[in-house]
Amino acid sequence: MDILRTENLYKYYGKGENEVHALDGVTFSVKKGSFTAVVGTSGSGKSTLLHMLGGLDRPTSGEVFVDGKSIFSLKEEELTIFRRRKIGFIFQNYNLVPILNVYENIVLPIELDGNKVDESYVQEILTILGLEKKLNNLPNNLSGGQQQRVAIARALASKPAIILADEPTGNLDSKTSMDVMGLLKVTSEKFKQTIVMITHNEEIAQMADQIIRIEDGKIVGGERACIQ
Amino acid sequence: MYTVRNQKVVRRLSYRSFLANRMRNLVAILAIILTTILFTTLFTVVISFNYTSQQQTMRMVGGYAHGGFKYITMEQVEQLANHSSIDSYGYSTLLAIPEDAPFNKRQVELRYGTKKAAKMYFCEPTTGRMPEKVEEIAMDTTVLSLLGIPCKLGEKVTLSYQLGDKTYEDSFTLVGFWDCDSVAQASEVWLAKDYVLEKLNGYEIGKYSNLYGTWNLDILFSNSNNIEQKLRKVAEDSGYTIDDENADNYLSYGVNWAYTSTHYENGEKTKLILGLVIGIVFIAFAGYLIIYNIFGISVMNDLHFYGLLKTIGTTKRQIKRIIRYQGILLSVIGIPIGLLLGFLLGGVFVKIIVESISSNTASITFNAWIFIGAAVFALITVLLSCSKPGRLAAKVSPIEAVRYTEGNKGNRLNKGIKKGRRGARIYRMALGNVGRSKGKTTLVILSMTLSIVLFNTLYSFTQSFSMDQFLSKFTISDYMLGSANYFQSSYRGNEDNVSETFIEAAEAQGITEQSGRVYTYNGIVEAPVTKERLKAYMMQWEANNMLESIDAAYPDQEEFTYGINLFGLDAYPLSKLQLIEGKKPTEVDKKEHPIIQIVSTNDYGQPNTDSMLYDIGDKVKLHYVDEFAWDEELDEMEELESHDVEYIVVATMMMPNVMSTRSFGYPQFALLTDAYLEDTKQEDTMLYMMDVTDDQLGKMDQFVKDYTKRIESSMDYESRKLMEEEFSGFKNMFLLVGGGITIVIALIGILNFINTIVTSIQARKHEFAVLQSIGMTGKQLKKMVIMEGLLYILIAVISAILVGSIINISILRSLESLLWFYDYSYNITAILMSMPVLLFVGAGIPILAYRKLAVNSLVERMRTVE
Repeated sequence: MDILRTENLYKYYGKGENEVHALDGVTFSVKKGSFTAVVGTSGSGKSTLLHMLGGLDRPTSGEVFVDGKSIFSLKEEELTIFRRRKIGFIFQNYNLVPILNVYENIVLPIELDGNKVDESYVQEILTILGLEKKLNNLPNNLSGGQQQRVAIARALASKPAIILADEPTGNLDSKTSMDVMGLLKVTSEKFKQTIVMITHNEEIAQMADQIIRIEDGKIVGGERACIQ
Repeated sequence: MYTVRNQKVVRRLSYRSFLANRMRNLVAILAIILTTILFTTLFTVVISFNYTSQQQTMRMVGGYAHGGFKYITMEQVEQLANHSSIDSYGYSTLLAIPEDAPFNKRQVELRYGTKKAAKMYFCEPTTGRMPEKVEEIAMDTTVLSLLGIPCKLGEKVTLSYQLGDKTYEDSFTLVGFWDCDSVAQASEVWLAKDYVLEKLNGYEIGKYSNLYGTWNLDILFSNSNNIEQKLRKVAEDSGYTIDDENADNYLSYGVNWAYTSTHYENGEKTKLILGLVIGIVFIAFAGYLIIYNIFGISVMNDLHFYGLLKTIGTTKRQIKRIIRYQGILLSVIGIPIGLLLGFLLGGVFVKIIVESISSNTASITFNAWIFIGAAVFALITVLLSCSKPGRLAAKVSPIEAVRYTEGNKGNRLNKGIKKGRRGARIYRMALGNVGRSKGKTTLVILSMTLSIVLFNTLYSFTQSFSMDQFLSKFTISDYMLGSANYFQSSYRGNEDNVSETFIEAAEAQGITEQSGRVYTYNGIVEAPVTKERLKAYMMQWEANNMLESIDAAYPDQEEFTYGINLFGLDAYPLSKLQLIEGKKPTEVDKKEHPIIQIVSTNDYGQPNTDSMLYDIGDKVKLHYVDEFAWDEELDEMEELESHDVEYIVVATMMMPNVMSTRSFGYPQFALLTDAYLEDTKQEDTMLYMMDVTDDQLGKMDQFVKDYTKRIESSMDYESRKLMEEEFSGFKNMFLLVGGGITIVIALIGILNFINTIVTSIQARKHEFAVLQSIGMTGKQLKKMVIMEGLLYILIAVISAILVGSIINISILRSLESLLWFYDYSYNITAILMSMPVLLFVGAGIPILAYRKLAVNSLVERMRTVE
């Protein structure tokens, strides 16, 4: 079953001579529980694609379906709520809230939604990610790898339909990068969590179930991919 | 060591970074303007107030010269005027003071004087000029109207006057006139030098009086310090003395007591300076709170920039200088505007204050010191305020600056640990955000607390003014009728009585409930006293000169007779007296000749019991002098006819001061009307008191107002209503002036709040975008920033209530013993009253700041790297 599907996504910036085609008709789909990597060079349009998938930005034309729902038919406020329920983000620069401790950061999306925290589930995530002893730490007191693990935990905690990871290892050294990739892979398998990851690093992309290559806003091919 | 010529580049950096911070600049300039306004207002009020009282005295004295020599010859004038210490001078000579009608109503002096002398006397023609030829004359409009001559140049004026034993009558042409100052005691008429000298030729100077024909030299020195010393120097350098009156070379001199340095008591000067210092410190503090905060925030936001500057080799001193230059640049714009606005505001305040505490008009000086002082203090405040942010920017390490995000610093204290699991709730996040930067939060809250507390203090202060206490002292009946002079505390005798026509007309209104007369004895009546008790009695006014004059008049006598004030009281006025000791005279047999000794009261209505001349039951023989003559040679009074009456002191009573002569200096006694009329053989009514039916107060008010204005303008009145108006005017003065200052301080507080909220939201642009990307809705974000705003307000209000209560209980309560019309009660109403406005601002500003932020799309905001 396709948990994520895009149809003819176009995104243009600027006008006239300055017009940039960031996305030029992107169509693909992702199976539930799979781990997909989107690979492309800098400026290829992969970040724009991720923003579209997460509903952070609206396309010039085309549609994105998450869990069967066309997300751009939603109003801004509804989209935000949809996002916090269905999509988890992992950023290159972690983007943790500096005034909240590790635990508070992790449960933030759940609490924003006004829901009760599933303590045993959170506990399980924390154990897998090795964060049990850091619960009361504030983010700037953690190493980069630790911060990224908190971000992963935050993305997992609300049991989203998909997790979108934007260069999750971009700020980490190679050893820590592999640890984080391992954790992503493990959690994807253990919690049947769909993950879409953007990276420019081929080696890291190889750890995914399917790879989508993007160049100048167009999909140019993929391995084990289901391009329609 | 050598100096590096880097001034230019430092200035360029400073200027560019100045241009980059538009919002900061705007807020900082506003803050500097407000601070300067406060300083300028303070200086304007203090200096103008001082100047006004000086001017007032000078106008009364009739001149602004520092001092001068009197009754000297023309040769002496020329000799003295050349002294090097004299800045400018004028001289004049008096020809005559005509006394025949119409000059019986006003003292008019015929003089020749130099133009400078006329100017120094405030008698310089404003239309036309000073007389030059024999037939020319200049005078003020008051004299012109006395003579019935229109105020027009070229009019014929005929004057007659006496000089020695000759009477002259001459005609002149009017060549100049001016408006006479209403407070001046006399009018001057200027004549030409040739005319005056010609008339004086043949007049034997000093035969009748040395007033006429002698010269007055009026002098201005470079400043008004130690005038007497300077005059002594001038005299001694020319071979004269001003100390030994009997010496041949003695010169009579005078010092103008209008000059502050000669007439302000030391205590008052200290108080004035203390008030000024407190004001300056307070304003500097209020200004510091905001300007420091603005610079602090701006440095925090630009920390990357300063880190970068350091990486490329900018020194600490240079960074400090960059920030200082910006402070100076902002001051250059802000201070002049503040000076102007502050001067205008100060002028309005002076007017309000002067007009509500006296009937004078205010003189606002355009004194350079106001502007110099205010500008210097404002600049000092700005430089102080940006010195710490400067040090902060200078201290930043390049590495840290790159990593810096707000909130790092405070958390080092607890090792980056924050316990708890409830922080993700919106209100907890708001709380966390407010606590992120403790210093900034403290400054804003202090600044707001300051303005709220000031407002509350002012409000409770004026609310505690007790109208009842004020009225009970100043009005004891609905109406008091008397002469205008009486109400100005200058009742001088039977010409200042209440007119019978006035009383009749008032009674004819037919709405009197109760009424009665207060008689006073216009003549000499003496009572036997002992020196000891008389001195104890005089002590209550702390008038040492009175004690001295008693000692001088009765050096060896322990018992003597001394002049008293004697009143006769009708039943109604008598009912206003309060019995302290003894029996009311109405309860005593008339044949025993009862008399009341009146004890004076202090401001709180307590009797001065130390000041009683007699004990109850004492016999007092009053000595009435019915007819007397003045023996010119002995300079003594000669009694022609007198009679004595013996009384028994039956009561000691308190009489409200507003019923008495309204002046002090003599022991006071009162008799019942019948006895008074019989014993004194006089019936001078000083005061008529009446109560009217309450619903007719309006009618009576209209009547007395019309009557005293149109029919008998020498009569006047005091009424409860008039006093109420006067009281609320006084109260309003505090509200207006204090309110004005509070508004400026409140603006500072609010500006500080706005700046802090707006910059803190701007700085968290990226963080907000992140929060939104992980699912925080716009509504939730808005709720969070509103909560942050309200938290500031809440903390400010709570601390204002605390501080306000402390001020209430300590300072405001202690005022009760200082101001007799002050009735303290605990009051924080103003804080509660200002709550709605504060809450509105507290919620409104964050919303506006957030809206401005939300204009940019989420992705754009995410992209901006801090």
